[in-house]
Amino acid sequence: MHDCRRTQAQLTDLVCDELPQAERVRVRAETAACGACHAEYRALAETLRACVRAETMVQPPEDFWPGYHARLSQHLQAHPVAPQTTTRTFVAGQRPTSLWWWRRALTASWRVPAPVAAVVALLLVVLSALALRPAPANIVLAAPPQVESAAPERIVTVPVVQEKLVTRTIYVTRRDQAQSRRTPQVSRASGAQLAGTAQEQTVERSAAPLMLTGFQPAGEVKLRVIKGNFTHEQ
Amino acid sequence: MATEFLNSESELIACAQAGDCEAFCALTRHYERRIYSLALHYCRAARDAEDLTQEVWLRAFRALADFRGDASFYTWLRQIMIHAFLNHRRGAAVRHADTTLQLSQLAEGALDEAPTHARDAETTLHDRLLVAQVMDALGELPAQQRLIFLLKHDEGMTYEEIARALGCAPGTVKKALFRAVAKLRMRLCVETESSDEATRLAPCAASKNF
Repeated sequence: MHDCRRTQAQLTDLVCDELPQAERVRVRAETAACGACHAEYRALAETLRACVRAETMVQPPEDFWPGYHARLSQHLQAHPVAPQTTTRTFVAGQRPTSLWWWRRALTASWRVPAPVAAVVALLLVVLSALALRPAPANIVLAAPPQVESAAPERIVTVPVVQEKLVTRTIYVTRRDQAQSRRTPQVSRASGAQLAGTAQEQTVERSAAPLMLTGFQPAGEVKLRVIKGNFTHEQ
Repeated sequence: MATEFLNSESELIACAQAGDCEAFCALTRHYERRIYSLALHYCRAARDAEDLTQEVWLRAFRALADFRGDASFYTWLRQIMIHAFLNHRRGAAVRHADTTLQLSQLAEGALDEAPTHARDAETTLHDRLLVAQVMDALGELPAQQRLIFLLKHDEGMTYEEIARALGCAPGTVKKALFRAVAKLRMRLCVETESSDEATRLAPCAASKNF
């Protein structure tokens, strides 16, 4: 089935001699059988013939060349080129030196289409930005140091509005220590009861005159704070 | 004869690679006409063609140390020529907004500047007009299409060879050539209906230059 559009699309290849042999025979046969395709083929061939004919007419005469060559030689001699100390020309049967291969490897270049080069450059920029981005600040709370204390460890539940570490230095008189030894059950009481007891003792102390004679601070007591808020308050 | 030429060419290349300018000048004699003709068809002006070919030969002389003999010397030289043509196009585009010669200049000036066989007594007005019209039509092509057309029809290169030389796909070359031929045909007013060759090649009324 003859298709004029398909045939005429191949006519440029036909006049440029770029069709394979079998395809050329087929297109020629179709062109000969179809008047429109044949006229198109003749027009294209005539265009190329006119161009080639005109180009062959635009040729300098013989007396042009001696002067041209003289000017060319003069131009080349006016721009001397330094002789190459190391030539890279291969001689048949001679292997190139390793230095030559190294130089070639270091100066090798590849032709890359501009869009591909742009995409690769963009990827490199993005990857560099990601690699150089500062790492997110991971706040690692160090475990509280275990303080070897001679004082008995107490667990006190303290209501905390916000997450805070509360460190209190408690000064305990010898009398308080002795009293606490006499009432060991108090230390095992709940946090609320302890808080109440401490308040009562404070009230008692504020009422009685403080005896600072012989007062010595007992070491620092580390309170373990149970984090929470008012909803968790017991 | 051919072997002697090749031997002499390889000897000239070896001497030129060592920096012998005389040897390189002797080497230019083998290919200067071919290079100049292509440059003349590309530039459509004798002075530009001479400047361009001098640039091509100077580049070749400077790059001769890189010639390794993988391909023929002319293939290597043609690659330099193509790059020089394309760079000339870019430079010319910066220097001159429009390098296309006017038809009248081409018919009366440029052809006289680059003397042709058409100046002989047998030269007819039809030939001169045809030359002027073809050169003007070539001048209206984009530079790359013009170069592809010349490489195909003057140099006889295949699509693949042109594509390799220009660093593009063979399909791109094929499309460019198709468009170039279509534009030339339109510009030369080659009609499909008319079978009379003289009528088809005569300047048509649509041509504003006539």
